[in-house]
Amino acid sequence: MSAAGVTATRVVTRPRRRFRVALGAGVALIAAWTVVAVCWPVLAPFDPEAQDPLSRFLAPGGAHLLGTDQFGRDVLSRMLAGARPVLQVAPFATALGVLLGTAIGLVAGTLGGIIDEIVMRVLDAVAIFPAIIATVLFVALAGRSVTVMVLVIAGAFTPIVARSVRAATLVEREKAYVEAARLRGGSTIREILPNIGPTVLVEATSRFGDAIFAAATLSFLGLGQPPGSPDWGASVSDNRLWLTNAPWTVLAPALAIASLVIGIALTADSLRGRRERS
Amino acid sequence: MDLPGNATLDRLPGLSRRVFIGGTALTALLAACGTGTTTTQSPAQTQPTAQPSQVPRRGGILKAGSPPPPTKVDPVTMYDGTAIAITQLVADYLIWLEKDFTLVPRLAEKWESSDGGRTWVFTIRQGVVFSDGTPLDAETVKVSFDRLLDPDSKSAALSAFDGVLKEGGVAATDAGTVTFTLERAFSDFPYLVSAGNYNALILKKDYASGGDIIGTGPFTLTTYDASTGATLTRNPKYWQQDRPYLDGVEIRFYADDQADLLALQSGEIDAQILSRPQLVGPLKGAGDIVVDQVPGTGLTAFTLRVDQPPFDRKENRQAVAYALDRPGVNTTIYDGVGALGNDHLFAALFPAAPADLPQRAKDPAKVAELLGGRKLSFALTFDPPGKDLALTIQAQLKEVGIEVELDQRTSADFYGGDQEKDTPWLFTSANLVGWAGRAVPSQFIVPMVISDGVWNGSKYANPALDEAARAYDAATTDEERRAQAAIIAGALHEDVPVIISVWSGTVRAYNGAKVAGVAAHPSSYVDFSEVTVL
Amino acid sequence: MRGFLLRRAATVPLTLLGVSLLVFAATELVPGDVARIILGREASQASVQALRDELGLDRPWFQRYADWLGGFLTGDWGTSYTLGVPVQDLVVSRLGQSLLLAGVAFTVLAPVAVGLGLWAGVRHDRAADRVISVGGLAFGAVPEFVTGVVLLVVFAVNLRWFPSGAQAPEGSGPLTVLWHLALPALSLVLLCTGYVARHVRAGTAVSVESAYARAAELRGLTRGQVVRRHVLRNSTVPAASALGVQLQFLLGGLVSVELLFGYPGIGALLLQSAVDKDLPVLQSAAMVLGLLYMVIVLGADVAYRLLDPRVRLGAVAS
Repeated sequence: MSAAGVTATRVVTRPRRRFRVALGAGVALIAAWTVVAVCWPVLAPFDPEAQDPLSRFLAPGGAHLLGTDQFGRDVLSRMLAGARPVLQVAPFATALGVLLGTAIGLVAGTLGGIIDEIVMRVLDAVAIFPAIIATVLFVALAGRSVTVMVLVIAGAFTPIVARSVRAATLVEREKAYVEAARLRGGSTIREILPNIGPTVLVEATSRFGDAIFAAATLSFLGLGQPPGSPDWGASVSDNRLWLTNAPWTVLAPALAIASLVIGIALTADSLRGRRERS
Repeated sequence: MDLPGNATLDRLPGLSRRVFIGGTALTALLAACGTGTTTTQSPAQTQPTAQPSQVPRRGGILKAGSPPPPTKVDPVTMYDGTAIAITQLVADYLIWLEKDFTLVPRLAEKWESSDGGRTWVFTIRQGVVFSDGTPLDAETVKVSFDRLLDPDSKSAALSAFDGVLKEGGVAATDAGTVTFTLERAFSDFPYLVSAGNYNALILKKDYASGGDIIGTGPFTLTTYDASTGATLTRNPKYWQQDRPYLDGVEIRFYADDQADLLALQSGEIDAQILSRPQLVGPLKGAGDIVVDQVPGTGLTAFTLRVDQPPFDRKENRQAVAYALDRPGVNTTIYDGVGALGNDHLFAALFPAAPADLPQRAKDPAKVAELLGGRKLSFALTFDPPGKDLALTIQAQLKEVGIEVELDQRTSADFYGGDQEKDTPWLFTSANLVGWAGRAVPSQFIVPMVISDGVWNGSKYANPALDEAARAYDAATTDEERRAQAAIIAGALHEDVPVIISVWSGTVRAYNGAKVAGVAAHPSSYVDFSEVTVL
Repeated sequence: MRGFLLRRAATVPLTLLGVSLLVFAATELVPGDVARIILGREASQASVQALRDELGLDRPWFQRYADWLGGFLTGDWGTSYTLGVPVQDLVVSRLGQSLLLAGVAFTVLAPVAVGLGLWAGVRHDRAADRVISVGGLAFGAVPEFVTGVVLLVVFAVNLRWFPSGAQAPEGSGPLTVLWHLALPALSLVLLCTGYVARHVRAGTAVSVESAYARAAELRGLTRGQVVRRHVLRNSTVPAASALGVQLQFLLGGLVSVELLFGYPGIGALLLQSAVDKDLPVLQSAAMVLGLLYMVIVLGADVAYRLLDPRVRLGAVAS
């Protein structure tokens, strides 16, 4: 083989082990948090809601491994318990938003013409509609619940995902293989779908982080999880007020969010890398 | 931007700011300056900063942070702390309310009652002019009160005067005298025309809602922007000799508490107007931040509806009252600056407060006895400011087996609706409503717990209490007041229509390296006329 | 191209009309009473009713909507219920502030994020790629009000290099204004970089691995030449798309940054007016933001067509 062949081999082989490590780490992070979400009542050293006025703002260490917050609640227990609401909202909101967005973007991009025009304008209207008003309305009508949060967040994601997917579809649509499929009379959507995979994956992983984050922002605005929820986003936004004197109360849930998002990203990247190679 | 404390540091070479401000002696000293009283120490014995209280330093601008008012600033209808603060800098009351609730003559020089407390004659200070040069006279005072008493004024003061003073009850007897003729005897009436009734500012005769706010106060409003803030400049025509010391006040709006706090910590502002004990508590003694603190009469009423289950049973109400760990609430929610409440509306600061009622404390055995094996659970409704207290109540009641479901609403929702039919804060079975400090107990008792009180959220009706409340207002001797107060407090303590776990104190945080003379006030009022920039 | 632009421009008013109806309906359904908010909870019910009559809040909805729409179209946006100032001045000044902050953030974001994305894509699957991807995601997962607080504590409170408020005093020079905007802009850049970089990287990585890039390398071109001639071109579409998404976010969703840095932008205004049910402000703010959004989307679409010849041809064909 020529020098280029050598280069190609190097590119492919060297990262393979690293990929396995990355995939393992990613899956492990997700699995760990899933286990915690289910089993936290067994794992948590304290009742995450129990308050103790005499042990407010305790620094990490001692009986409270990660310290306590302004109510004297155990930060570690709250972090563990917080995995459940997070894993109830983020995956479903992301899945729903990405699914809807991909379907809409793909159909609009493939069909083009007047249908594309109409679909995209309707999506514009959805995207323009201030999410704040939608949230205030939903919360008022349906109360604060996991379902409301999933719907609001998925609704906000759909136009964003659809727009990206449609853009990718427009590019793919003009490629030779699609033209060939069209001439064969086959489904162009089926041809395009696998090729916009990377775009969808990027959307899904980015949106997953955004979903946790959107939940936190809703809490920041006083519209999110029910008060007192150990949800990481809610904890971060509640405790930010005490960041200067009790940083651990913010760091613990923030790191938990980051670890879960990174776990998802590592897994997604590795899976994509494997597929691209095969 | 200039760094804080530079001027002070120059005078104290060799000391870092941290050491300088960290010293407890100095903190005490700053607090002493804060009260505005002259210190007995001689300048030689103390730090050079003692000088401001001896020979006040003139000039400079005080930068203060506060949340933006939710509405246009109109003294007649305002109700939020920022609007009240801005107007208090610009205009005066007949009487100012000191932080210990004593009355200080301002535009009224003196006042006296006759006819058993039904007629009140106020002597108006002479020689006072508005910042535009218009002289103040009795007629102007009359017009200011007529404006509030007009049934179409939409003023919250209408509620305060309800049943006491109505349109037509104010007369300018001569250029220097105003006479108030009341509907019923009211011995605490001066409080209703003082700062304690915050809408009762004296404004020019031609003031109309929405117009320029021109007063006789220490400052004049120069610019106002609903988004960013207000600037005020010294009123050279101010009637108090040599006041204010400042050249001006700049108020910056921060819609977020943390933004306000960080602005103080970073030196962008010198003081906060509305500080939250929970937030500034942890900053005490850190860097240059000084937190002044006063006991207050503010409260968050935990109201229970006595006319529907589960709180139509007195035992259930008492059980909740005995389940609360009040010192715990004080520590957690008020950073310990509050005073324990005893489920009646007489704060210890009120002179007539009964002293013989035992302080209610957490008593799980008593709770079990009162519940007698019944399971108690209920929904607690509140808006965002009540969230932390709601969480603490929920956690504390959980410990004795009482289950609380939290029902958080937006403030618009919570206070929306019709007050006669369905507004959540007056019609839900249990709720939390915050009340700023008031100067006299009647301002709580009459609206909140008498049978036809406008804000009687518990729907409590007790003829004996109604009678005692009326007698309390008419009472002319301290002895009689105490007797009536004992009846009212005893009934409330026993029947528990409202749980008052803590009387909140008030704090005000400021940068001790930059300003002196900023003080906390139980109603979060501001008087910056003796503030100095260091 | 002209036909495309005309067609798109024609749909703008229709979309806005639909949105304005939705906003109106939503505001109707949200509980609360603006008259009560204006007068406070201690005002009597009669006073509140009097104000409702004054503001005409009890008229049928279509009358109120028509009133607002008529005014909006003729340039009379009305007066804010709560703040009592002309809506037009309020919305325009708040929008200007938001555009400034978004502009500063975007000016930093675009080159940094695209550059990082390209680098990650070219260094496909190497350490740099991984660090950029994961780091971007991690920052993207931390709410901007958390990074914002951290930046404030470090750079405004402790080091005092930057002011804590983003609003420069009136009459400040451009440098002072930028100095005030630095921290909020940085927290936004940290937030948005990951998303854009990952999109650019995805496009780049595919084209680096693509047959024509391989072929070009086989033809003896260096990596750099391949990137410049082929990859860059293919990365522009995802870059434009992702930047468009972020620009829309920057212009419409900055509520928490505005609140945290005490910045009078349109996001905070939107929240305030939604919570207070200040309909004239809410409607006008939503319309202005909506118009802006559609201009950006249209701009992004035009960009695709100019940047990607295949789309351009497709447009001609369709």
